[in-house]
Amino acid sequence: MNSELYLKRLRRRIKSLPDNERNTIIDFYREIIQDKIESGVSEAQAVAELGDVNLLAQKILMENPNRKPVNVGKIVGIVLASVFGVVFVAMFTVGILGIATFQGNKVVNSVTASAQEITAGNKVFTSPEAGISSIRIEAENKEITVIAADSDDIKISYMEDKDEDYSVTNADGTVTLVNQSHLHGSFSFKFFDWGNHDIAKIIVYVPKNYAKNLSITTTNSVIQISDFSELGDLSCKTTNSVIKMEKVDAKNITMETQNAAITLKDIAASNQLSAETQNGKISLDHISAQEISLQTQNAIIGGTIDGAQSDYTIETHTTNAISNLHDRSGGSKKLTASTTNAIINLDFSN
Amino acid sequence: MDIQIKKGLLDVCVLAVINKKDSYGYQIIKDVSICIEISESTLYPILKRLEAGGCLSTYSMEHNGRLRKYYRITALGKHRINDFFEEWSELERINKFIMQEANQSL
Repeated sequence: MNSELYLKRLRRRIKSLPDNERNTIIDFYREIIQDKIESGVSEAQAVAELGDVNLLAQKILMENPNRKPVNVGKIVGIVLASVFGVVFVAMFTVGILGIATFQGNKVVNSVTASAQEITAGNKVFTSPEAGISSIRIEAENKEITVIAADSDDIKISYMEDKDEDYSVTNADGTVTLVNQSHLHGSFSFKFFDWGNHDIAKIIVYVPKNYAKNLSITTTNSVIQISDFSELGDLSCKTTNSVIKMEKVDAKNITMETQNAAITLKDIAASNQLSAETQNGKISLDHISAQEISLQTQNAIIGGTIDGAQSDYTIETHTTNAISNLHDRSGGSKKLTASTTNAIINLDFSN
Repeated sequence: MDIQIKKGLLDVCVLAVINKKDSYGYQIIKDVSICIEISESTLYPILKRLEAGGCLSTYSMEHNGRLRKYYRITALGKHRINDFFEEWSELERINKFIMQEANQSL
């Protein structure tokens, strides 16, 4: 393949990264190709040495924590096309070899992707969505991204490692992944830990029309979720890291973190929505719920809530700072906002 | 080799290579490959991480009508290499201990 075509394809497949990061990456690979050609390698050979463009893109995406949160949904396309393409090929291969079998409701599969380009120990758990009423992820120090997929299967991809225990079960309609990290407090030299970043990720693919419960718990790491239209109860808990949510409709939404922001855009809960953090801002952009409860300390609560102010019974608390809302009763919905030492600045879209 | 150990070692190898002389992507791969296998896609995040950690700085220079990005070690990067030597001597001490203890039970 010609190098510009290869780079163009690579650029398209890492679209979810910020533009400057993407340019740096493309420049890096272009320079390598040019230097190889200069040293006497043919262009076709130089490109071939970089390997399959889908695998390279996947590796880049896994290593990169700077995905644009707005575009999480778009990763579906890229990742489904690339990651799953590869994984399906791997599963197919494994299937042919008779190593793995797909059986009813048991843990369906656990595949080590065979291609060398993928970091060793890459695992994917797959289960059909049918019959599943709850998905629970309980991890330690893992960034968790939940992606709405155009598929009938629930898939969880993670990196197995000697310092990480993973157990995935599928029983009584509940898919549960429990991860325990042995890294903290264990005997390890500083330089052993330098490369730990890319094992610190879990990606959960959930059919976009999934209407049941989803619960995500992690520590010290970001949680991102977007593009779900009819979830049941959604719960996200982390510490010291941001929770980002966009375009999600659910029955109840509960979010909890510490020392980090909660950022919500186009979120609707038919029943309750609650966001709780400390020392982190709560930002809202087009939020609606029967009952909204926002709580932080030492940080701003700001943004817009859908509907008219008169729809809401309002209760706000801030000490040492001001709120732009006046407490009122008589609304059919309820809004509670509380912070300390910082302002509350909420608008209504109507 | 254990993947985490390899990653830690690769960081130091890259620093050692650019400590000798400012270098660029392809040259770094060639130099490091003499000792440990390293691919382009492995090198990129290492360079990025080392730059973010202040261990190296970058600049671009014209080469054959195009720009080539060069990497230069910083004082912090040199410090990191020294840290490695210190950690390594500690590892050797532990290795010796393990060997002695293991030998006794053989």
